[in-house]
Amino acid sequence: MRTRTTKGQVEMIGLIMIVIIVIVGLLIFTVYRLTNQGDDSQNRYLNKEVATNLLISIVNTDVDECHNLSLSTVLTDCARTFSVLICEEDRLSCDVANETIFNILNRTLVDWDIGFNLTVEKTNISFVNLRCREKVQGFQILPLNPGQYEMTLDICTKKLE
Amino acid sequence: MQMTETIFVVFFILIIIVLGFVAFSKFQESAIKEQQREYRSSRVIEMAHRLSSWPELECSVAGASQYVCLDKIKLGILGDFINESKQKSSYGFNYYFELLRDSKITITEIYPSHTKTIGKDYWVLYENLGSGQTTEVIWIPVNLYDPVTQKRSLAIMELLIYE
Repeated sequence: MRTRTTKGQVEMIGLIMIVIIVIVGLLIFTVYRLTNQGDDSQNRYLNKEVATNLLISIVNTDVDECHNLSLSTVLTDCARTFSVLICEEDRLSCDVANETIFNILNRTLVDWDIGFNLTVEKTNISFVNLRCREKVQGFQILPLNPGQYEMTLDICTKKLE
Repeated sequence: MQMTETIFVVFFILIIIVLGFVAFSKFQESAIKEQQREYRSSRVIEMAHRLSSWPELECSVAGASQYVCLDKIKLGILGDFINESKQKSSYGFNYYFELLRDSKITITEIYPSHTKTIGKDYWVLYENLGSGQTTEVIWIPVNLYDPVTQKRSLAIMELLIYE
């Protein structure tokens, strides 16, 4: 009689332990999900802002090495089939644009250790430093007579482990 | 014997109730933390937006203001004004404190100049460190317009928020 009761109690304790473990597991999972949700959307939004603002600022910057013309003018010349702009020291617009964007990216995204992928349509300008799980994109459309071309910047929001 | 069983059952029911309370309080705690985070996030986003198009600093050509562009000359003047107001504890600093609270705002020119010389290509616009640690660092790319040379350079506005 005594052995049967003790066995029943042990089984009950085991059952309760299982219930407790399940509850704790669910709790940890829910708390983890709730904790990460807000940060992620904020991070994505802010990075998208950085990408868009950086592109706008880049194209509006005046280039010393090309008669103080804006980078958008230099890029537009580079995107044309026949480039006409000759910058200082007889350099081509594509070379100057490429070097300027390289310097800017080095002093910003590379310095901040943020992965990125910048491409300018209709040119050979492309910078890739992207090792990430998730990214956001900013873009800027520039006029090209005739037509238009696009400059895109992908920014990493989550790095690869 | 039945008494012992009843005590055991009551004991475990009590444990489950206590665990329920713990779980509930944890939920409440994480909900409060989430609210705090959401408040901080909205403050960060609001500040980032406000700063990138600050009317006191906006650059305008022929009366038209430009997006994410700050006037270099206005930058130096506003920075000095806020700093002087802080030292004198006058209304000027109180006004900006209402907007910016415990934070630090610096502007660093990235291209073409990148020497980090104060007044030339580096400005501390607002500094009120508070007592807490830094919780957020936000970079806002902007253009700097020099009305004298009529040149646009690229700069980064760094916003540090203290809790």
